[in-house]
Amino acid sequence: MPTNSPSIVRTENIGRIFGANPVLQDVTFQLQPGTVTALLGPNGAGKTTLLKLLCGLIAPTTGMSWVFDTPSWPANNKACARVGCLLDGFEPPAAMKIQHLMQLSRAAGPTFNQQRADQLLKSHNLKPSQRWSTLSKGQKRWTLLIMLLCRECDLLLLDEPADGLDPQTRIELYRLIREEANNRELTALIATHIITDIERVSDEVAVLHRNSIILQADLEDLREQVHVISCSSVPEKEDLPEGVEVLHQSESGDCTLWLRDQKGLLAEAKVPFEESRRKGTLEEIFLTLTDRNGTDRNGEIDQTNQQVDLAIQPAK
Amino acid sequence: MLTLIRWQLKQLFWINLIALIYFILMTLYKQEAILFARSQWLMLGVFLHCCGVALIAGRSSPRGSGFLYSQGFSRDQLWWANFLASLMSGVFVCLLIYVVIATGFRAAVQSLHGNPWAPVMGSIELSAIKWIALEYLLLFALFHYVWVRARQPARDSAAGWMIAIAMTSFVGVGYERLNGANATRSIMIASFALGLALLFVIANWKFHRSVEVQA
Repeated sequence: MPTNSPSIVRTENIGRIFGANPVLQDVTFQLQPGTVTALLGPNGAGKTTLLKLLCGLIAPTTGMSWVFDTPSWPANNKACARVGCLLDGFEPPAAMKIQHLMQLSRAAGPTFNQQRADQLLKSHNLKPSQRWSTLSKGQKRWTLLIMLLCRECDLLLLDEPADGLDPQTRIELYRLIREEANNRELTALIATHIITDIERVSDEVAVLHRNSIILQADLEDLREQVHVISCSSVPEKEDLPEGVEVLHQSESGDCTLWLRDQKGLLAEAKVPFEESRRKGTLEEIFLTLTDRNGTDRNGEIDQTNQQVDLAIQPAK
Repeated sequence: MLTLIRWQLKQLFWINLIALIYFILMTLYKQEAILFARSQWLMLGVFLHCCGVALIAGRSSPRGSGFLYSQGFSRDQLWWANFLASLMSGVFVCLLIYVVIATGFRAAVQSLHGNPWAPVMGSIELSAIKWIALEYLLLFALFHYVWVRARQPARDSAAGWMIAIAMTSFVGVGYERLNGANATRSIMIASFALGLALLFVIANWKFHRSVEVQA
């Protein structure tokens, strides 16, 4: 559970440019010990680049980041052993056997739990003598995750960890991460597109969009703050309580407002022409924030996208 | 550290095997005495072996050594493992040549081929091994420097290559000077080569801390 301890990860205006292409710009955020944070963002938003920067694999073009209070670039300190990274495309050579990978993990950190590794491998029918090239996509993913989980790192930076995993293994993975976070203050930053999975285990959510973090919030608070209000007519902006942010306004058919109320002003107050209200799901909030619903961040309607609805309707 | 060195040596297995076969054949069947500066095929073998080892060890692609960078090791740990594994590849070759000469295998094979110098070859040829070892050290230092420079955030791989080419030519000329050199000149050349190698090793080690690993 989150505590008042100093942050495990901290970035200040960190950015990265590849050639002339800014992939990440002015990202400032922090992670508290024991929190599981979902890093959400559309493709190309810069999630993988952010994780690589935090892992110390690439250098920032601007700004700085710290992991366990030491700069993550250049990555040459004792903190490296406390960080576990799972990045897409980083795989061992095809001829390596699972036992070699476990040996490697044991060499990386003194806290490697061999008994647990054996148990996790056995429960998924993986044999230490199996070569990397003979494993399926899901087995490869799970093997890499076992390496990280059994190293008992204090920080996990995971890029699409559930990619290729079957539903049971996905649930098991997130259950293990949650348990570790609860029991020994493991901190995890998980970039994923499968929002329904991650919202079950996350304490916080960070949304990366157009190369910057546009939102970092406690997940429970965010769910409480975002109201989806159906109105019979479009209310004037001035009629809304001051401090309430309009995330999205749908005008196809009836008017639907997406409001974020950080001060609890909407708990008692009613919006003009209000007919019904409900809380937004994380997926809906994400889509709203990342302009997938026809508005931009200023709440103005994007005419080219106006008809896109948040709900997917089954074919009749 | 041992696990990391073992991991790197596994990556270098095939190039080392090819090199060992090449050197064992060269050592057994070369008719002229192995006087290092006069054995161009031996020098070329060392050059190509170093090139191959540095290429494989320096592959920081996510599927090669790059994977190690995401596994919680510090840059210094990785650099030491990488460089020591490379040096060990050179040591294997030197040991092999030493064993083949010192145990009399080479002399025996040469006798079978009717080489009249076979009985006295071993005693003069053993001294060539130290020059082979020095060439390995120098070339590993140079070639590792090239890939380390090529993977810096501000790419200047051309600078690394140019320095390496210039230094290799310089060393080649230096080794040519070993022909008929007296003890003083040999010591001077060896000291210079050793100093240069150490300089590149330190530069490697420092620059390696800021190597970028990309998918």
